[in-house]
Amino acid sequence: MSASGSEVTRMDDDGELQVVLFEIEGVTYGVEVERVLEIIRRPEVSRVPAALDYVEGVINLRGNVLPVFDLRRRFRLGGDPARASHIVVLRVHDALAGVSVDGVSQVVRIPIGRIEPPPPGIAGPQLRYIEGIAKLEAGLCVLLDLDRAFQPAELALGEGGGDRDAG
Amino acid sequence: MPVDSGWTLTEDDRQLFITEADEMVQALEEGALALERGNQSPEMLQAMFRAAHTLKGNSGLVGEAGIAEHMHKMEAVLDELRAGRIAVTPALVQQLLSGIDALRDMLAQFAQGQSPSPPVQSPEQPQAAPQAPAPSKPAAPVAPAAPAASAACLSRYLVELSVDAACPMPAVRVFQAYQAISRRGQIERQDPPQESLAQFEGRSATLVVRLERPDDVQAALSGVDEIRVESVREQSMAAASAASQAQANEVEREALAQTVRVRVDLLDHLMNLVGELVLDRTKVADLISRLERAKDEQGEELRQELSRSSLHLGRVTLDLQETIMKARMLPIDHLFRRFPRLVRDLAQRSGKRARLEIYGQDTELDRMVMDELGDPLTHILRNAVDHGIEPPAERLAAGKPEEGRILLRASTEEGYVVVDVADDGDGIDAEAVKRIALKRGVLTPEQAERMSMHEAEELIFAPGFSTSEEVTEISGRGVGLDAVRASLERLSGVVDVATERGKGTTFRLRIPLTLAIMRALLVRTGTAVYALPLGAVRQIVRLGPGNLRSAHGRPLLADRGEMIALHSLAGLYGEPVPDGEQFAVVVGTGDRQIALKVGALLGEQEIVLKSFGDFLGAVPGFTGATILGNGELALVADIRYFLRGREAP
Repeated sequence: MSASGSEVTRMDDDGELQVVLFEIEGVTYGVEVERVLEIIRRPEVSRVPAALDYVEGVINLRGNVLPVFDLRRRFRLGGDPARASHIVVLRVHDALAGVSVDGVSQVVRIPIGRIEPPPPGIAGPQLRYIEGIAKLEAGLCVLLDLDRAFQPAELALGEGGGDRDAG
Repeated sequence: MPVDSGWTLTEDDRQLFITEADEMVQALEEGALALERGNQSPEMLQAMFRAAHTLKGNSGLVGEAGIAEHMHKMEAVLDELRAGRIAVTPALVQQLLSGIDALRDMLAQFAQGQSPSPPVQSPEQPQAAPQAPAPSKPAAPVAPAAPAASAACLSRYLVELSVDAACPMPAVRVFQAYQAISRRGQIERQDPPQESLAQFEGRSATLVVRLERPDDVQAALSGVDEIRVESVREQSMAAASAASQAQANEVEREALAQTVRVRVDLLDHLMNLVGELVLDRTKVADLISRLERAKDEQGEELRQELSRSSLHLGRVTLDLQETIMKARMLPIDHLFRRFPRLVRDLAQRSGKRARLEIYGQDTELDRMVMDELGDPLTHILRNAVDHGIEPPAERLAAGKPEEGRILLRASTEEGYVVVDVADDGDGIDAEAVKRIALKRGVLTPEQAERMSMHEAEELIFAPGFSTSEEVTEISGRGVGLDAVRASLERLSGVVDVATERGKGTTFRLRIPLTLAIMRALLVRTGTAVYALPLGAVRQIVRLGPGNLRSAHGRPLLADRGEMIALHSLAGLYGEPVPDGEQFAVVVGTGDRQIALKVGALLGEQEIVLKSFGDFLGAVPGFTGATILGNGELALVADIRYFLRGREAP
């Protein structure tokens, strides 16, 4: 837990982290701003049958096939991804991927001191994908560890097994 | 040839050496095999000698003394042969071939960056490098003597020039060289071309030039500094024998090969760009059809303009697409050339006699496809020697020539390359095939009972089947023709077999020219659009009481007396099956087929196959995705996914 907290290393000179905030099912999540390439209106997503369960499908991003991930399923949040309004295009493991979000609020600077490891109360599969929790004026924000949350196909298969053990 | 003290071996030099060495090895091997068949034409011996000599020189240039030494010995033997001082014997041919094998090993080591060790020459082992018989006379001059017959007319020579590494302006020197040579003879081809000399910064140039005498080149260049004549090779005009013709082609191709060095990653990038253009074209066409439906008076002018630019875009794209495709293409000879030796060795090991005849080696094929084709073809050829061609005694008894004949032929057929492998052996015994299939549990007795001849022959492709009673060294261990079929299916190709008892067997491979762009049938089921590769689509039918059947509760499509298993495409993908699916698309490869129920047919279209990327990797049931003209995504179906484990009913 503290190990994943210490992974927050990229910060600007003032010891702050620039984070893009977005909302899914009423929860505010944040990812480092360098990870975000763009935010687009959510087009029709083509489902890919038989792909990993948290893969919502693929979209056409200017001629490239972009996989779209569903955090709801990854974090077992429930809810319908079709409600999502936007897709955040992110760089994960040097490749591009999209995440469906209900709304994008803003970019904020979070002083490192305000970031804490996930409280022990949080359990379940999402714990390992969380880098930390930040206290903002508007409430709490969950900082995501994208590289852990979404892995290339062959790695993810092994991890799926781990999920089942945990659950 | 003097080597500049400042000269260092660059990666390009290494690559060039390796490429050229491969050509030389090939020429030597073809020659050795021709010698074995009794062809000893002076042109061919001359060509072999030249190949050995050139390779010796090149090896010295790259500092490979071991290879140079090896080639020196081989050259000496060939010189003796050429001069008629020693005779061709089976032992000598074997010695040559072993020497070529050793050379291959050394070159492979060089290619891997190791300095090759010369072949071990212990007294117990036969010497790997052929040795010239004892009293060796001084070697003949290297420059080929012009054949008396063609002395009157101008002969064609392949001239290789190199520019000193220290030369600051190679383009100027090469230009001067072109000028000087053109005063003595007629230049037919030049690389680099004169027009692009301004950008030239290389260190070598190649010309095909008609000259009276090969010495003319040296004479012409006597006034040009910093240019060296690397080689002057005659391209025989009166190529009487097939061997020397092949050699001439080889030399010519070598000259051309130097002009088409394009990095594969660059080509891939170009491919992607072209893919984008193809999409644009489709998009514009889509826009037009929507505008036309709008019937807007004001839009008339706009429509016409769009129409014109769409036409233009279409032409440009098509042109670009074809050009890029060509750049990815290689003559299939690159693959075929290794097979004569393979067949010879296989035949010798199994105590048979077989000759491989190759046709259509200029047929071009995407290099990626070609890489994938090597193993299946090798397997089929092994099969032809091992199972097809009979032992000599048996052939004589059947009134056939002692030497078996295997035909390897490539041709094109609208977007496909067809490769036939035909042997004149004993053919496939359908009954024996059935017996073995029963024994191996590939077949049930009931199935065997109602099986047609052709279906029985097709059994050889079944997994776990191999007609040779015991596994031999030649047919490989346990890998059957099912592996061949699987490889072909990976390429979206098919393999079929035709056979006649006593007459022989023909395997026919049909492979798409390229994998990146293909024609597909677009279908909609539910909300999703799927692309079915057109190569696998056999027919499309509208479903109705007339053709819907069922057996044991499973739906079937009745088609001209045939019953085909009918499944919803969405259902096969584990998606909810939508109502009102009115059409069935029959897809298949070989004798396996299945009818896929779909909601709507959206038409046929050229699509650019794109992978799902690292995240999704290989998704079962799909080969990738494609982007349609309206920006929508379609998933490209992997036909094998539907056919797996579904044999013909």
